[in-house]
Amino acid sequence: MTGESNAQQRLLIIEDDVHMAYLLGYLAEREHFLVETIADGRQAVQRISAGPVVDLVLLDIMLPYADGFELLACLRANPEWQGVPVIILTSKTREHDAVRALDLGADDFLTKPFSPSELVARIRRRLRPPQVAPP
Amino acid sequence: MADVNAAPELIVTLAWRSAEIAAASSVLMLLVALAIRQYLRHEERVRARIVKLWRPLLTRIAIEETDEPPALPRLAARHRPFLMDEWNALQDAVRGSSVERLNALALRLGLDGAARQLMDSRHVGKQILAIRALGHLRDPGAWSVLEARLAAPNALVSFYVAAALVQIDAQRAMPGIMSQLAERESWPGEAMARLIVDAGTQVAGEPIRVMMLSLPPAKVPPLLPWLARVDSILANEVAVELLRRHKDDIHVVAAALLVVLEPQELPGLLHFATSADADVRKNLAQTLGRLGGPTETGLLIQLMCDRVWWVRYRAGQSLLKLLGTDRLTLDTLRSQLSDPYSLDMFEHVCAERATA
Repeated sequence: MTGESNAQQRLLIIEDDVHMAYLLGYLAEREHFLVETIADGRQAVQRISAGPVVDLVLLDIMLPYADGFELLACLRANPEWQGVPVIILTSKTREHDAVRALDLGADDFLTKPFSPSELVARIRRRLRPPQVAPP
Repeated sequence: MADVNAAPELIVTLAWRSAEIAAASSVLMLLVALAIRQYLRHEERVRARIVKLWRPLLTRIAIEETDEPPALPRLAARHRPFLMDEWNALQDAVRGSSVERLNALALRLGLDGAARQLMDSRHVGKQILAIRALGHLRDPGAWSVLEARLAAPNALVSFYVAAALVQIDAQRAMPGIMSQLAERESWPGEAMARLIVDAGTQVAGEPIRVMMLSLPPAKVPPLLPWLARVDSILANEVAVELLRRHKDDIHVVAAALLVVLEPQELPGLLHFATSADADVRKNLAQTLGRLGGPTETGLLIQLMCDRVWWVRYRAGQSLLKLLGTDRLTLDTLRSQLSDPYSLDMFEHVCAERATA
């Protein structure tokens, strides 16, 4: 993924932990994404219902006001956001949350603490354009 | 007569002096409050400055592989705790080579020495800051300093010490942690589960099994659901063994029934249907629904006639779970229920499921 290919790609980070949000934002900006960060579920619901669609969402589960599951349901119920890849961030002991999130339509999950290079690889995988078979 | 006249004057003088002392105390307290406020605001400003300067740098070091160590800004010794806080937070977020790079940075900045000094702080927050840092550094040299505080009266201090010891050497940490686990009801359950998962069940499994089986029965029930969250297979093994050893202890039996995982254990549990304790019968009804099959419906129908509402309710729920939603099957069962209480409960759980 080159900087140019990412130039127009937007990433929405929904994470309430300031340190984690900063780290994710730093990683994404380093990969040349346009990053938007939201720190709670209520703002995220407003953003999903009113703002422009992004290319990928990094979503924490434990959030104030509305948790990651509610937001995921909200995303998948919105026709414009239905196809947006969502990567869930969850702690190691709450992997059952990840299973539930995958059932609700998340595309991937990553447990915290995570390896930065692994997260980048997963983002790349989700944003890779579909391979078209040669005619 | 003179004494009588002097008394009111003395009282007025005393009152006046008291008022002066009260006013002076109030002013003094106000000044102290203002000084504390100023100090805290100053501390916050310093913290904000350090965060602004160091957070990008720490993040860059955690993420980017570089051949040469980066140039670092000056850091006053008294500001190290602020940086340590940032460094700890980043350590909590990342793993792999990022951890090694952050540790190398900490050694360059002398955070290891600062952490050891902070261990002696009277401020609990600073102690915890230091404990977390020493854990992240994984320095075996810090073992004795940490281990000495595992039995600290403050539950948070002892919990963070346990976590730090696991980070340094999980296997070595287990005996000490297990001896505390049964005593520390105030340790945060979810965080403790994470600690055990981090240690790895291959390391923690056997010590936990030994600890659970050697505990006095009264201490077992609250720990079993926690163990099931940590490792359901290990919890099943422990529960089966506890049921064998303490089959007459109703509290242990009630807790263990909810943790049993293997259907082949069911035949050995069926006799608890006649237990005098309602919790045991209720939990058995629940377990039958979770692990049983069509052969268990007879016993569940029997439990639907129980004198305790909750036993009938759990038996009804389990019956529906085993029988599914086939209308004919449910109608056949309904016709078999002659007891009015069981029939009433059956209608109740059917209605509940219809509205779920």
